[in-house]
Amino acid sequence: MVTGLGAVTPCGIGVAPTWDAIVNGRSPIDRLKRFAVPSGSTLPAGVVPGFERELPPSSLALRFAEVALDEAFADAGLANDDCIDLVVVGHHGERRAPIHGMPTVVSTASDLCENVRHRARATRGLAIFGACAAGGLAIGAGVEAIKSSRADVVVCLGVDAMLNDFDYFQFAHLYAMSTRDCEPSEASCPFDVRRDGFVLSEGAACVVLEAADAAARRNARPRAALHGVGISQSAYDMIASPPDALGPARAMAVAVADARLNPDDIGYVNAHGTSTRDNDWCETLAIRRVFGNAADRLLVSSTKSVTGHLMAAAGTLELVITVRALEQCVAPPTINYVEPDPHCDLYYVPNEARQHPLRYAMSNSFGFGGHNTSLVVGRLTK
Amino acid sequence: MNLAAAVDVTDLGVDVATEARRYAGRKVFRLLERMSIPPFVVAHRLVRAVEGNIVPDLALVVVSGWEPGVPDDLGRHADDTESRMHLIAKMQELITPTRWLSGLPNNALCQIAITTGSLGPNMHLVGGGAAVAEALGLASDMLHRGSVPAALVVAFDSEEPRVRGPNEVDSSAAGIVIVSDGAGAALNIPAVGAVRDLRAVDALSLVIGDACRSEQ
Repeated sequence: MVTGLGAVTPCGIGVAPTWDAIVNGRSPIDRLKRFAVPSGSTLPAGVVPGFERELPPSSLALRFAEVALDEAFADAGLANDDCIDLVVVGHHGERRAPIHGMPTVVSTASDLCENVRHRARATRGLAIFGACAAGGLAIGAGVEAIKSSRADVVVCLGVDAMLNDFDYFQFAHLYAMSTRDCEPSEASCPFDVRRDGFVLSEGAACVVLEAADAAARRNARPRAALHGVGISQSAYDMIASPPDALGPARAMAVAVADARLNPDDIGYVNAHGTSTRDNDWCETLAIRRVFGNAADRLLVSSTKSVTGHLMAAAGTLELVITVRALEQCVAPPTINYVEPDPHCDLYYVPNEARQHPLRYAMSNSFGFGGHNTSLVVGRLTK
Repeated sequence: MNLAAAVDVTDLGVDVATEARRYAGRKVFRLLERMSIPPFVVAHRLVRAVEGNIVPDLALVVVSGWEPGVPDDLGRHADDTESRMHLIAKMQELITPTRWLSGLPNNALCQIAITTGSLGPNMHLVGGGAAVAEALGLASDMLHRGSVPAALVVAFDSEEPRVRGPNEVDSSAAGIVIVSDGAGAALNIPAVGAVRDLRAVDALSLVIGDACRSEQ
């Protein structure tokens, strides 16, 4: 069961402002002002409000993580003496360029995990490096621990602060980020034929997972049920998506089977949808492989069109969004969808949210290195 | 749970790079830095110990305490705008996409998957002995539930603590294949507290040694 949600995103501090921005299609993406960039560089970025102008020497990721964790705890109604068995963190580490007097490694994944474990008063901690799929992998590991009775309460957190003057330029050098000449808020346009790369963002998202009986014992209010997890490897390339889409399709198929559902039980897919040429086409093919004819009835959207790509936090954030979508029976939109790509031919909830009865939904995360995760979530009926 | 196969730190010979070349094509080998070569070789030896038809479905978990830093060869610069622009240009000249990719902690896992065709559940865990205990728990859970036919768990660590670059020093590596039944020594998953202070590779080496002793 999902019993608590927390988020810190470019849309705002908290799940409520984040969901509000996403469902209303209000993108916070703006020109990067935090540090100087060479002319011609990628400019749009998703910065957490209040941190637009400076890059502090201390860890931004830790600050984001603490706020998201605290919100999730409050949402779950967890008290100081409640036992947290395991904290699972997805994080890339946080670095700075070697400017005179500044530390270059501000935070490591293991250090941040230990800090979060301590703050959560958890017995055990686990740090996962899974690139953009790390958040989804963190949730997958948490679900596995609960299903096997190795844990009753697991806190899963994805966090990244890669809008720093080292990692930002590494991504730019991969030519993976958007350089399109447009308003920053329009740069992320998943599934659109004009798409040319992702918009780098930062933030954190946290979910509290509990075994059903553990949640019942403390009268917790579950938000949703996590029915299925699928994890696979594309085994193709460090960056490029596999042309046959078999890896991502495998993750989705395993998740549906794990949930003991049929593909046509899924009403909404929160796509990985990075707005890269490669991923969006590959994910479309993967969805068609898994859902067959039912794909034409699916609502598919990429909320990265609003938030940008929060990297390791994307998977956990998009589970938070998917839970909210199920609670409100609203499929959030893919904004900036103006010129359809004939190779991406699903229904992407273009530009406006859509009210629709939703019982089960899926959330996908795919990462550099071929990591694929897919989560199937169910609405709780009262 | 049983250990179907194991490769301990001391089983690796001196010239692992030559052995790695046999398993990797040119495209993969250029992405294998000194840090990634030992776990890559360990995994390939273990994969050859299992039935070929289960390789696409086996679980792959890699554990390491190593995390990348910022390369020392960037030097230090004053913090005025012009110097920062020079630094950015130098970063992009020195840290090519190949170098950046080969420095990712999950690089070894990805090259293992690419060259073995392993498509199953996979994770790279960052940490020491405690992470190894969690990895073994995860792998055992998947086996117990019948999600995978076997699980490959590999651990590696830098020979020198706190080294950040992937090509500065060699790593030590060990690995095991776990199956839910069959021949092989019984797997004893250590308590987290018993291995928390160990490096990941040392914790897995302890597990291998424990299994060998129990089999005798």
